[in-house]
Amino acid sequence: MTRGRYILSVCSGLLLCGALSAEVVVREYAGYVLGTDYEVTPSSRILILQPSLPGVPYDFDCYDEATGEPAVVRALTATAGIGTVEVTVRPHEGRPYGAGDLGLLQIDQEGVTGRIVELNIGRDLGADGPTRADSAGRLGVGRNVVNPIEIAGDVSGALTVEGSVLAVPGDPVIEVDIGGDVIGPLTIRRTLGGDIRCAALRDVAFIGTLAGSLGTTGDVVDLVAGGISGDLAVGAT
Amino acid sequence: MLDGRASIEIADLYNIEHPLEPGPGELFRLEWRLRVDGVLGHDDPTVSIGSYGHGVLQLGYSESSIYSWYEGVWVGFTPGVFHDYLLTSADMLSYRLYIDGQLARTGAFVGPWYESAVMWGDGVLGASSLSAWDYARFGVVPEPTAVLLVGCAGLAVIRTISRQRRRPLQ
Repeated sequence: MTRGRYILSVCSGLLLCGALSAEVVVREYAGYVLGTDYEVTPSSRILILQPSLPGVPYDFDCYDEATGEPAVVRALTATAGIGTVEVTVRPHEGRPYGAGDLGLLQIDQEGVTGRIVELNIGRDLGADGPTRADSAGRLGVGRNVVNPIEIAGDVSGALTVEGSVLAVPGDPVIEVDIGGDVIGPLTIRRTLGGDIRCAALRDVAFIGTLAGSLGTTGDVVDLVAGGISGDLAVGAT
Repeated sequence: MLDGRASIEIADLYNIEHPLEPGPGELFRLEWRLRVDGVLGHDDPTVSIGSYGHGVLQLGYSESSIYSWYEGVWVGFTPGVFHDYLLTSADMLSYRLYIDGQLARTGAFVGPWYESAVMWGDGVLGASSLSAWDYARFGVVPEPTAVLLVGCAGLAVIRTISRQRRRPLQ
């Protein structure tokens, strides 16, 4: 497969027709082909069309072409019924993050088994909807998680949220409240195998086991867990 | 006609950012008339409706069906001919899609979303298409039930006034 590379225009204003107001590049580094394996809209919405090859996750990096700064991926989803989909959003070529914001990441469609192998974004995750997948590896969020993260299976790596997880109503199986502002649900139905690091942690509830370590620089007000075998380090209280 | 067949990297997309959210007794309506003559790839052209704080819906066309990106469902239609599409929503959380006056799907927006905007046209990079558009128009209108209630109330007022005017002087 050849590398797909293309330039996206971010449309703004009234009745723009193919106009370019900012040059955003969404690049796929694993060799999947634009049009055959995935497609994109000018506003950085990515739709995966084909299952990923075993051990070869889709590898996206989104940045502003002019400045090299991480840019917004507005949505990353998969076509229903295609089978196993593994994705990463991570930086390449010296960039610090794989994207600035990731508005909507959902790879749990009917007939899709989705795994977020690696996520490394500089700003917010989930501003446009809950993050959903069947399992996850290492998740790094530079600022806030704005809507729930709902992982049906394991999170095998570290979940790092530098800012806050903001509140959204719901009935999560597992709830993680982080930061000084508001609390947000994090759903992990089985085991969290890695670490959680955040500014402050207000409430954690695990149905399964926390196998890794839990570290905060602020308060832990409440903690409910099925079992904790790793370290628990609380910065303030 | 929108002809993007020269390249799968062509995007000929129309985008209007505008508040779409209906108030009480109002209904958002998006109407378009379209014939899809050819699609190379998964889905193209596309229609997208985003409502700030509520959700987004993106519909991508193949030659005989529509794929809703975030719902992951297909809606079929008869290929090769013009169809009149109507999408309505009272709350921008759920919607109804009519094709040629027939209800084709009741679905849900996925959100919240970051902007209120309607987009239509050749809007997918990775697919190309040839399509004929008669029109695309949208707005917020009074719900039919509200119009009916207002109409009935108006008729009642007119009738009352008319009766009072016809009442003989005592």
